Amino acid sequence: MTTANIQMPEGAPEEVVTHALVRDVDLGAFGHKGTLALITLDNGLDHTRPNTFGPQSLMALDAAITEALSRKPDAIAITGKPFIFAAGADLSALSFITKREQSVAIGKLGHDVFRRLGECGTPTFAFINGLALGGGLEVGLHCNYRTLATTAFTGLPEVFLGLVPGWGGATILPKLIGPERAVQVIMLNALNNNTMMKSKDALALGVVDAVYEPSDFLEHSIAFAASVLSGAKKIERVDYSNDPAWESALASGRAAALKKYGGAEIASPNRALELIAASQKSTLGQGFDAEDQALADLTMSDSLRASLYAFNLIQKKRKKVEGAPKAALARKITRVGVVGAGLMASQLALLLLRNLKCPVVMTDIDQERADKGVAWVKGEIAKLV
Amino acid sequence: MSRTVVLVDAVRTPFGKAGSMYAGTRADDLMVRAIRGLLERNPKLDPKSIDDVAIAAATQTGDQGMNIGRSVALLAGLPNSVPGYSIDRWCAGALTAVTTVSGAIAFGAYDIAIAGGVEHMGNHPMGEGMDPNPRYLAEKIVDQDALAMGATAERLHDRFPQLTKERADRYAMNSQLKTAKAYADGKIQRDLIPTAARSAELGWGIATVDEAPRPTTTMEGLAGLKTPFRPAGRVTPGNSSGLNDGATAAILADEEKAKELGLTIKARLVTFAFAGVEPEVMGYGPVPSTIKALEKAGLTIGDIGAFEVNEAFAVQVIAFLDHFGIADDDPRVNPYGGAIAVGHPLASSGVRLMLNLARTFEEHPEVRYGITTMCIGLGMGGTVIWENPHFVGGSK
Repeated sequence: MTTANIQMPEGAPEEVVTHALVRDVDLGAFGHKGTLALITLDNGLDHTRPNTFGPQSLMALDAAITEALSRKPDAIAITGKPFIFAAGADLSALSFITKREQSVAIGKLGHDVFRRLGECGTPTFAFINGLALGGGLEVGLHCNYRTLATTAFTGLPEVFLGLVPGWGGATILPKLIGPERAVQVIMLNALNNNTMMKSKDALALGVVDAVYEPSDFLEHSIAFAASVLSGAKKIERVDYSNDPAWESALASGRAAALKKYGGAEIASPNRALELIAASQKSTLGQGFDAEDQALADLTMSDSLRASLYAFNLIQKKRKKVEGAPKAALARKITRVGVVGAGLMASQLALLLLRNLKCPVVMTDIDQERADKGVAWVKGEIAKLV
Repeated sequence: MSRTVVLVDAVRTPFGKAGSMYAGTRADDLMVRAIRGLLERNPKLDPKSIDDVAIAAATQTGDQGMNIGRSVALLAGLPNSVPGYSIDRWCAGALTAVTTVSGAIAFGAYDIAIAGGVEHMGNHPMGEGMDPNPRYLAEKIVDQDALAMGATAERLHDRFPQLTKERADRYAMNSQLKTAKAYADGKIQRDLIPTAARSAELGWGIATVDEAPRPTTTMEGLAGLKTPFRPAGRVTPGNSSGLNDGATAAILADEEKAKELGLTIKARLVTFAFAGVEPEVMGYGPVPSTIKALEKAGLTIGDIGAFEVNEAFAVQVIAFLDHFGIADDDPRVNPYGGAIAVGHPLASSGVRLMLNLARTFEEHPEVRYGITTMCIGLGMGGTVIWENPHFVGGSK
């Protein structure tokens, strides 16, 4: 049992707590005599407010793991609420942190809770039923096995945000899937405008062990767990500590970061590369400790604050513009005029046509130009069929 | 009949008590699970070759609406090219889905179809949105009792005084005991599709067994139950089926097509019949529908070696048995128990009878013919006669 008393920093919004509910599943119907303790992560809200992990959520998961273990199950599994596994750390409080110790404590709490899933001695499974980002995916990485819904997106966007996958991801993932693929997920995907993995990518990279369709994802995941427990299915793990690709993989990660930032030395990709490099020789425990330090250093930096501000601006405020009038007040658009029929005007006309699905009128200084613009738009539409 | 219709396979979700283990689960999701479980068990069947999907529900609104046949076909991931439609004959919905697609198969319009039913009585309480025409009562087309199923069961006791409460209770207890034994022997679980069920308060769980059975039922316990439909009546929650949530699904096919594809053949359709009775004694419906079906088949009741009778009410089953001179505890009748124990999610139950009968056929190759029959609200019965494909000769 983990104990922590983390005071959230002054001014931080109240945590939306992700609850962790435990239920027993009888594996008999799935061909294995025994039970599985199934933990559901659910913050009680719908999919538009994904599960996230702040201190109280981590403590709730900790208590659920304790509860699950007390039932002496054959396995423990963890899954999410409909459409969402977990979207990672609760970032809303991060920019309010003023003391480095607070930051270290949050990083350490995450590790202390999540690592129990890898160290408790009972086989653990993550049934990643929906979106799993950052700390959300890292919960799964601490488990012994992972299944993923075919429609679910996963990723480690931390480096994109100015952080590192610091709840185990930077250490576990290279050991699990090797340096090249870990650099792909942690560095290249994140730096490539935060590319998320589709399920087939996650499976091909070895991030997950099996994928199932969402309509009976949980049933198939439990059947997967039963077949692993009974020995009918064997999941082989590879030891990558002597993999010849370490150097080249790290070099490619470094090159990607330099390219992305025009040759500037940026802290978060560098720290991520250091953690990945260290994972070749370090134990998990050593890696987690190093992650705590990297996370704390980055959290206290101005660049992270700027990054979180920007992220908030483009992710949240773009969708819900502050002070904007209600959409219901808008007049229905039934016809659009575009002045000009050159390339840019034509592109705008096409965009308006496709999004508003109403007549679009283009004008220009003479008929020939107008005709040319209209013909271009028609040509683009024709390409679609 | 130029073409022979066969039951390829049938499955069901575990049945829950209404608004209990499936309280957080949609009806269409239950139906989807049954269909997907069914197709998973029959990998030789290419979903593209399914000619139609007929799904029954007694209340066709909300999560049982939107043309649930087509809706669940899409939600189950069947190809867009597979059509679907909805069926309603109250309790005999799935049974009618089976007979309707069978008719189309026999006619040659279809080769393969899925038939099934679902009822989430937690989401759709009996009589939800019902708006009986005032003429029913004003013109005495039916008596008030005809619209309350428990009251029709009391009326059946009235009609046949030899069908005592004691007999009904004993039949009900035996249903519970037979189901308990069938569970202990692992016979019911074979056709249950484990079904994920979420509760907002408890998280995700998996239903693997029926929720309703009461294996410790005793005659003393039953005798003490209230009679909600009439003071000092005979019909109790103990000798009736409950209010339940669940779904069933079956594959029906032309026999030649089934053989060509290497599909299993669990039962061969002989014929079917529906018949009406006075709505006030709707539970008597299986008697005339069975007489009619036997006549069509050129069989007598003595030719039938296995019975699956839906147990909406114990009195309705013993009324049927009494008519045909079959003992209340005849081992040919409902060997795995019935709806009194496992529950009766209205429109889904017909296929449950068939999957049980198919198991009886497997275990009893000496049995040639079996029937599935049920009573239907507003005074009807439906009966389907099946032939055992495993029959190897013998007395019946």
